[in-house]
Amino acid sequence: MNKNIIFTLGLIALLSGCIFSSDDKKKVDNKEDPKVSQRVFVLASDYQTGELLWLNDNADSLVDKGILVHQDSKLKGRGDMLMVLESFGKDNLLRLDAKKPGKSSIKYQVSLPENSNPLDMVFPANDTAHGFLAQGNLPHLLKIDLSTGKAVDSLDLSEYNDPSSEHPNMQNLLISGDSLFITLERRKSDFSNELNGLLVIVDALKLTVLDTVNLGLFNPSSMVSFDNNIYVSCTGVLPWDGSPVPGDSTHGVVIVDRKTKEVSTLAYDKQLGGSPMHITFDEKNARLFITAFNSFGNAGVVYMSIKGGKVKQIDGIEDSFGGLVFDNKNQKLYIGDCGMNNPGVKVFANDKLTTLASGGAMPPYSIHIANW
Amino acid sequence: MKIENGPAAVMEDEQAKPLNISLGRRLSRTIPESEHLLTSLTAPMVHNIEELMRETSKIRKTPWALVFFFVYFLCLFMVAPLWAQVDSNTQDLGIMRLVQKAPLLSAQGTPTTIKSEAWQGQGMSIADLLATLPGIQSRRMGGMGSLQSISVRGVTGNKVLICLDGVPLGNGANSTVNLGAIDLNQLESIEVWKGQVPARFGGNALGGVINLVSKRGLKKQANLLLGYGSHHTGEAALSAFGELRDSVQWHSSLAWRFSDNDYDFLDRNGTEYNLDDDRWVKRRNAQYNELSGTHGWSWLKPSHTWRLMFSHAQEQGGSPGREDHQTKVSGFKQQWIQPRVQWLSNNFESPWQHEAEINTRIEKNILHWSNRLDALGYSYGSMEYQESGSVDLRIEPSYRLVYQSQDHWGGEWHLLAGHERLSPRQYPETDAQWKWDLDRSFARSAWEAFVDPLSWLSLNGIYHIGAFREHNPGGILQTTYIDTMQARTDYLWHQSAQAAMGFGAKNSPLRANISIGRHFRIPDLTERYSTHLGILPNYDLNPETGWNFEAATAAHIHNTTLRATAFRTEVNNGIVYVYAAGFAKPHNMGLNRTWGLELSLDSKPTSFAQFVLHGTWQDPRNLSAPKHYHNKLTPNEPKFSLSAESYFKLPWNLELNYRAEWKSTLYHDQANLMEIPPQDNHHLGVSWDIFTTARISLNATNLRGGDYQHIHSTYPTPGREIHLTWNQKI
Repeated sequence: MNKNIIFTLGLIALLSGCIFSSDDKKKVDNKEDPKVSQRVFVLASDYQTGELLWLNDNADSLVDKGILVHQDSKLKGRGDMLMVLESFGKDNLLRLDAKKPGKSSIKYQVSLPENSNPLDMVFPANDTAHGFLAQGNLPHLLKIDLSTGKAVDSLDLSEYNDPSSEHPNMQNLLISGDSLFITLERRKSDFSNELNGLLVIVDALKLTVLDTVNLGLFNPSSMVSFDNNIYVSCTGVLPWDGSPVPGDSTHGVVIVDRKTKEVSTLAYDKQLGGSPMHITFDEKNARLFITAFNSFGNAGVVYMSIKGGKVKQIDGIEDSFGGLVFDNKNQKLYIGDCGMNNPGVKVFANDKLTTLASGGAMPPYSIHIANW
Repeated sequence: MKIENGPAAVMEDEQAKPLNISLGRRLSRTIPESEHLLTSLTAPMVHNIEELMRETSKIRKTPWALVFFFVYFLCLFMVAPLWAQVDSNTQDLGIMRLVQKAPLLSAQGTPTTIKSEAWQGQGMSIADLLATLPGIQSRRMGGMGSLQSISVRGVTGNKVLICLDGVPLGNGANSTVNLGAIDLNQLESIEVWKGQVPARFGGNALGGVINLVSKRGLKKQANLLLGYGSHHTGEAALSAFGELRDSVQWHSSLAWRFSDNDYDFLDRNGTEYNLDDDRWVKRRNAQYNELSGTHGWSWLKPSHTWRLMFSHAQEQGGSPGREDHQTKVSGFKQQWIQPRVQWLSNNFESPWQHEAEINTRIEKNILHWSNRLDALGYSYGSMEYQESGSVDLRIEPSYRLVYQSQDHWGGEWHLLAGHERLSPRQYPETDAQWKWDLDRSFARSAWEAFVDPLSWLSLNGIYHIGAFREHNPGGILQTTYIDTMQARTDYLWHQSAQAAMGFGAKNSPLRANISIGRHFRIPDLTERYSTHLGILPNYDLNPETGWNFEAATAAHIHNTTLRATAFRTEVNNGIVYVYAAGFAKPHNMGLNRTWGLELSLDSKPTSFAQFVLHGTWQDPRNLSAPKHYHNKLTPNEPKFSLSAESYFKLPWNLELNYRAEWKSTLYHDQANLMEIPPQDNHHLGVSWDIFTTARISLNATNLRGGDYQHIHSTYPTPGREIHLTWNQKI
């Protein structure tokens, strides 16, 4: 009888060990430290697998193990709310708590309309319950209930399509007060362009179009706002390697005056050293940091004053397609260098470039700084 | 899988029929047809069960599976003596005959040969069949006709040379062969060369060679096979043989197979962290059908033989897409014919034998889809329905001279030349029209020499050299941008070598061999020049190269054969796609290394029972430079895999067979984040031989359900299936 009990207990222990043993060799860090009021998130991807990682509490290295997400995902958020836009191929919206990231802090993961391809999301300052979502492969801008991730309203932008296409290629969003700004690429069905990039100005409360601005260049891919101006990087038509094309260049950074709706060019690709992609803004020094695509695998980072003038390059960057975000709180520029030779998250501060320790992480694909 | 080894296995031995291996009957799951299977009342309960199953599946599949195998074989070997005591009461039906040969390991290489009796009427795919052998892993992405591939000793996909009657099936567009597109009912046997590769296959086989041998009337027997099973899966095959005169023979076989592939699977809706939107659905747009045939004539003359053969196949099917994104109309069509003319000298008194042949292959592959109906996410407009594909034309004359002396030495010289043209097919023709033709011409020569200096020692060496000319005539080529590609011609040459030693007299029950070889793979034309949107060309691509080493020993004692093989394979300059700004470009930067041990046990302790056990232990590593890949496990390669089979002859001409497989943890991706937990699967079958000329088989496969699918790499496979077959000799 005693032997049977011992055997039974041993069997239970063995089963328990199997049940409760975890495949996760290293536990995910999901503790909240009250002293921490900022966390940098990185979506690492090799175009096959995606992993959401973040800087540790010391902010000097990426954590060893993160959360598996779609390999093509963008990171957006406000405060301690982090949104993962799982783009084309998954079309999901995932929300988690930036204060204590981990699987247990996932609030929800919802499926968006088929072919949504969510590319950007913004959050109005005067409405903490909703956000606006840009769908790259559908003609509707969505208003999202942030508590559930479900769409509660939409705005149809199909009147701005290229005639051969069924959606206007929504790209970026920017919100300022009650005004919502949306950039449209307006490509043809074969990915070429006849129409310039368009900036659509929307009443965020009523979700109605107020005005549109023809950007003059092609394929807007990123924008920032300062004072009365919106700065839009237009990557231009293919090829992006800056090879000469007939007529004027189609690649450059333009300035849109919000009051007059006038458009001027801050810098063309030749001045920048490549077609502009990501753009981010240093408020204190009033300068723009720009990803300049030179050729395949070669996209450095340049910076210049918003008033124009000389363009400087940050040395040591191979391919900054993996993200570009300026931390205005700490005066640091985070660069996602996904180049072949030395990929990683790099930090440019005080004119010095350092590389964050990242272990065996995949190259960066998107970066977001959460402040609360 | 019952196997036969040795060069002689290529020649038909009618006195030694291997066991017919029956595979499982496939039980279909009964599911209401509505997609919304779960009501709001039952959903929470079922989802909890599903979650529980997922969490505990690792327990089920890991320690207990090992316990199962241990207890299973312990019982078998303990009970077997009891059966032996009643052996006299069991009929020896004369159908199951174990080939009692000494294990033939020689310096000339010993393929593993699987005969058609092993798979006839089982509804099995070639990939599944090969994966029962040690050192081979398979991956399938659906049901009948879906993309299926294998790896050999850690060497994956396009680096394993797949041939039909010695002619490579891969082409300039894609050297990865879809094994799911080949009907086993058209084959006589399958040869597997894992280490040493004979000179006639060339040096272009980094991962070994799988040579599919089509039916050629060797059995001098007509046969009819009819089968039907789950998911409206059916097959029919007819083969015949005849002699017009003593010197003129013909053979012909036709086969047809089809399936709706409408199996049920759990659709998780692409949301790993949301179980509320999971539901059981049917696989759709996965239908498949194929018609294939092999026909030939032989004219035997006193001094030589002429042979004319041609094989053909036409298949079409749907491309159902991912688990959470099933398509509606996307599909494919493939058509090919492979004529061959062969001349062989018949003067067996002479040590010189000549062989000349001309092989040709014409292949057309077309994909079709609708952006709108398949929800592919791109702008629709005028490109709502599209077709895209290629036509590949290939001709390869060759000559082979063999010398075999009476003094245990000999050699072989093989000369092969060829030309291949790859042309596009596209609908509709857009402004950015596909206007390319890619050409490849080549000449290869191989020398092989062997000698048996001692009665227990044999030596073998092979050297191969090849020269390639690749030409792109230029034209408008839509890749990632509208651009005109300039005409260019590239020249490549490469060489390979192989050496082997064999130990043990020919009739010795104990033999061994060691071999080492260096091989290569020429890049596909489309890897160098790019014909796909989003992929950039790389004119500087070099051939992939690699080494393989093997040390094997085999022992045959009474009715038991034991084989052990240690191996090491290495692939350098592997072609890897590097991504930037959404585009991809191939580079030579891959480095993979695998070392391992294969063990095989084949035992027939009684006249009515046989047991086969194959195990592979390996350490497949990605050693390429990127730190996020370095030292990670090669994708889809488990460190340990096991296959166990048992066969029992029962009274009244019945046969029972049971097969089980087990794999340790593996990863679908290079970063080793898409983990596939340990898996086991079981198959059961029973056969009945009636009237000595017919066999009825009833099989159940995948008794535990379909393969585990990682949420980020989801191509559901069929679960339990039943298959009934009638095989009739005419």
